[in-house]
Amino acid sequence: MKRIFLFLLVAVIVSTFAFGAATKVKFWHMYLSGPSKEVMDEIIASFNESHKGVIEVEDLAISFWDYWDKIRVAMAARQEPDIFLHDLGNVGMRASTGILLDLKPYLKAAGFDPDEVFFEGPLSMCSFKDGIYALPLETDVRLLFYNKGLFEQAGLDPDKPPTTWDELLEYAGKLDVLDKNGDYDVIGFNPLYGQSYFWMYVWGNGEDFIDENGNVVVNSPGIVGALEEWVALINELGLEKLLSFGANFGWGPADAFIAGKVGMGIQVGNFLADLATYAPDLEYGVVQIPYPKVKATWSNGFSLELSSRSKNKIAAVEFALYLLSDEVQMKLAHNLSSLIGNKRAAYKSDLMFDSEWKMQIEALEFTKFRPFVLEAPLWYETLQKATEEAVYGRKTPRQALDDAQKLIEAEIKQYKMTH
Amino acid sequence: MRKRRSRYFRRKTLIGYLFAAPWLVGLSVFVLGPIIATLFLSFTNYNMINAPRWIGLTNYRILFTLDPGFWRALGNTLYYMFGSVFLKVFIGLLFALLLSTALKGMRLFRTIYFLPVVLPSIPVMFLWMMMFNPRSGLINQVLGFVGIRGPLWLNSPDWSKPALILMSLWGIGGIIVIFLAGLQDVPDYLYEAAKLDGANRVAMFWRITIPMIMPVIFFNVVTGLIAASQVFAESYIMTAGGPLESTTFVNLKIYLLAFKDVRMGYAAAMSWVMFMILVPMTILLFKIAKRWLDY
Repeated sequence: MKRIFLFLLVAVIVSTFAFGAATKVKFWHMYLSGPSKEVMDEIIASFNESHKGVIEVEDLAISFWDYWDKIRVAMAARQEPDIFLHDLGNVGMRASTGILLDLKPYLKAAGFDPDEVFFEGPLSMCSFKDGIYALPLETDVRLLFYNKGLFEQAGLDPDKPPTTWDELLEYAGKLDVLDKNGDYDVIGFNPLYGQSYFWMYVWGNGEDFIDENGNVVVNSPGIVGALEEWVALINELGLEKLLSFGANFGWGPADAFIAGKVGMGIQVGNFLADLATYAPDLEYGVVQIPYPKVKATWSNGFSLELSSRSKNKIAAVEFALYLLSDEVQMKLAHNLSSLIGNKRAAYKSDLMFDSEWKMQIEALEFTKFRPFVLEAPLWYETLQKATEEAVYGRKTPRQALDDAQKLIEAEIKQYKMTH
Repeated sequence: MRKRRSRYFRRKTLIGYLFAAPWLVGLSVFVLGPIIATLFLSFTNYNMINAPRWIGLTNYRILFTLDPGFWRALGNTLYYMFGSVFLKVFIGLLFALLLSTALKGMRLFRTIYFLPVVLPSIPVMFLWMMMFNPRSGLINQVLGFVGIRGPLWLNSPDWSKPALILMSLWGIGGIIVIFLAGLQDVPDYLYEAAKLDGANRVAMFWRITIPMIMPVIFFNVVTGLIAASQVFAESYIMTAGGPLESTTFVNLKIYLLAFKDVRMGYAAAMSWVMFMILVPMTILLFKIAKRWLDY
């Protein structure tokens, strides 16, 4: 199989020599500034150097906030780049339209065994039906960050973070500091802070959102039970107090943990970079998130996707495989604040010496992605709204989840009516 | 002779149209074209990747039978429209009356009240987010001095819309200026005559001022309602439609459907339904106005 790919590559090279100019590959990404831009520039330059006269990658960096509209409009105008970054969480949305190139035959031809090279979770998000329509360029996990200084103040051992959910709640109570109005000055654990979402608590309870028939279900008895516990936890802390605490903070330098006002908080792995930038003196620790029944964290990331309408597919695949190769992925791992999809590169010993990296890689082995549902890709937002309805006391947990289930089913029905 | 004249006029008309051409081209390419395109798209399924596929009235059927979210968004929009417009017109009139009686400082105060209108809206929104902060915000701090524990404002599903309405008062300067112009147009001899007949100030206000500036009030209400129906940036920037979708206005919903869900056809159908609600409403308002104002 490797031969076929080589043959195709030789064909590209020969045709390039015959016609003179290098095949141009357009690549859109979000590495706009800082170390990520530097490393991407370096990677692209070295690719262009080693493919001189054959393939030339022309890249365009776009800010995260503008990226999504821009790529969407480019697709609508049939002017999308040959290869581009996109959301790993909804690859199927685009794959189902036919715009993405199925990479499976190309991977096979290049002797790339995806199961061996990539982490299982991210790879599963790239798969749609029988094909592989994206490559997991970047991914992430959530961890529990805790403030060592606050631990000491509360009389807790800063080297003994909580390991179980019960311990987490016990420590949280000790870490709380109230001001003279009875509001939180420091909060031990805020379930509404950062990247803490109800779906993770559901996974932590050993429940799932996809039933044995492959349908999305958000109102199973286990999930209802989890929401009852979740609401009880928030009520105990006081919803109004949590909200008015949260309103004082934003993100980046205005984050509550960075301000030293959160004892323990769930955050995405690249929060480490924020801490290094905005709070270099803060004494913190990182651990796997404690769980009620089953180890749980959650992930998302950026995928690398190729247009099926591209005229330079072979050259684009060559570049894509280069970006996912062990060598380049290791380079990315050293310079980006997120994780990489290439398992072989991630387990390289020099990376694993870093305990924070090691912890994230361990989490990546058991993490979950919000399952992709083609007919209702935003089903988890409906779940999130139901969670809020129950938290605000507008509906009982059962009622809120039953209604959410109905809305998701209506969404699926709408999809079927229009497709 | 006649022929030459008509050619001359035809030429003149042509030149006229030529001068209007940039605007005409702009209107048809950037306004009318897209409006007609959305009408077509509303009968299709369009994911912005493949060509739109005709599905007849399905989008409208979904909207009327399967999507309670639209009706909630419509309710939110109407709440905001009427709430903000009546508050703005009422307070705008009040300020205009105060200003028109104090003629000396009028110019200065008119400028002061108009100043916020010229500020760029996004920083102003961030400013208001700070003011609405339940603990450190200016509003709740002031309420705290008089012993009131202020609400959560933007974080409360009950107070989020009132908060945005309160914020819309920021742009009241335009209304005040229009009211001031209207008040100055009320002829003085009417007041003098009323004074001679022994009318007091309250009677003069209700019998002279209000009827005379009715067209101005009405103008402010209609333009205000139309402008408020387009409310979008406030909820997009400040609340993301929350909490509990209490600030999900129709325009935000249309935007999210089109660009997040990528259901362009359905979003187009929703904008047409909204259009079909706003157009009759405006016509009705003008009909009522005719009744009121023709006496």
